[in-house]
Amino acid sequence: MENHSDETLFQALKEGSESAFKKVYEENRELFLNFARRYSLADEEVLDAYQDAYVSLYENIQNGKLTTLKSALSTYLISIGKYKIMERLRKRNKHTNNELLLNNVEEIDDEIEAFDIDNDALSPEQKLLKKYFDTLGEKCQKILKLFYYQQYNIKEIMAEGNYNSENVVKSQKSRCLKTLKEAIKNAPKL
Amino acid sequence: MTDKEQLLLKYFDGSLTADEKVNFNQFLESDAEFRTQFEFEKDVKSVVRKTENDSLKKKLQGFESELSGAPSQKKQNFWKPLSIAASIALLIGISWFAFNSDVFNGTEEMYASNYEKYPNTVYTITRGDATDESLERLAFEAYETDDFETAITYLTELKEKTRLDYVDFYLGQAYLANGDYLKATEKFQEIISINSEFKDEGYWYAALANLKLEQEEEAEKLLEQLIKMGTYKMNEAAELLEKLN
Repeated sequence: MENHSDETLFQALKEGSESAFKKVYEENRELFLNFARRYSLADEEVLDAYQDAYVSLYENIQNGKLTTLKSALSTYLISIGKYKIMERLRKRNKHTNNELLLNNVEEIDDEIEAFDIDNDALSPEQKLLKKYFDTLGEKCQKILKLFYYQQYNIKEIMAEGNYNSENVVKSQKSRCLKTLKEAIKNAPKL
Repeated sequence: MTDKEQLLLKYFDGSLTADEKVNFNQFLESDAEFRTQFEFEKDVKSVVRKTENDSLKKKLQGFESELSGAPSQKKQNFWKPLSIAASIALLIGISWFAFNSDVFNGTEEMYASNYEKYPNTVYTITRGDATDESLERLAFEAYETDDFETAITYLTELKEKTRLDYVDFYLGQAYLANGDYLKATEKFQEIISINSEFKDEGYWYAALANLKLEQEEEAEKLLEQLIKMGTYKMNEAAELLEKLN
């Protein structure tokens, strides 16, 4: 079960604390690398998997899928890490036709099922979209990040971004999407 | 704001009720414009997530270079003479070891440096589904936790009930890990003879098991076969073969 400092760190991560982001990463690094040693992956791949798992845990804290800690942060990292390791094993071994092998069934695995943990490469269309997304104004990027990454609802975005009303948020968001859509429409064919 | 827009908002902030989900799916099926908008927003979501996650990962990579760069630089001046001395000592140690292992180059070492347990790639131990007490689950749970004797018991039982060829392959793995090289060899030979999808892996592990049994000629033959297939562990097989010759 989580200890006090895990809970404190979890709250800090939720609030987007930079120092907690670094601390949790560094504190769990060794543990994860040791755990991953049982899989036949190169050191760089293991580290890469740890980073993916970490980014993924952070995303699910940010987007509100993980609201209360049921286990230690390290347990979450390892459980997500198993998926990330599996993805890598699957790429290498042609016979991996199934999802994930878990060494022992954690009580949090059900919970993790609902997490956003995929981080697939973008399709060519999405890459193009990203190109235009990167050129959007700061305001647009922020509102889209709040909505699609942090999965805030309109009301929460209103509070976060100091908007005057929900309608302002909605129309701002629609405008940003429209800009993207227009850019795609006018883009040279792929 | 139309119903449809409202539904899309709720989909992406994760607050659709069960009724709304039904409604949502109906629109998705019957309304092309709705579907296009949905697909578009899904792409935007992927892009936003990717952008954010990539930038976070970059941050982590930055931490890594701090971890590996900063501390060693500080220490370097003070430790430099010592570290040079240590490296020389280490070098001597390593070359002695390399020399010796070359001389004795026993099959034992060849085995040890080449063997690793094949990961379970066939059976998903369903997350949180503690009610699944199937033989397969029990077998692979044991296999993954390195409890090979239990794994052998369950796999043997499983083999009587199914014809899945990977059962033989993992049975061979479990025997091998458990130190029963003869039985392991038999299993892998079986895998090879029935043209299982694990055939190439079968060659490799059969060769390793033969090394353990000091059947070097047989091991060589198997490695040659494996190299001929040209799909799995090619480089390792070639290296090992060279050492054997």
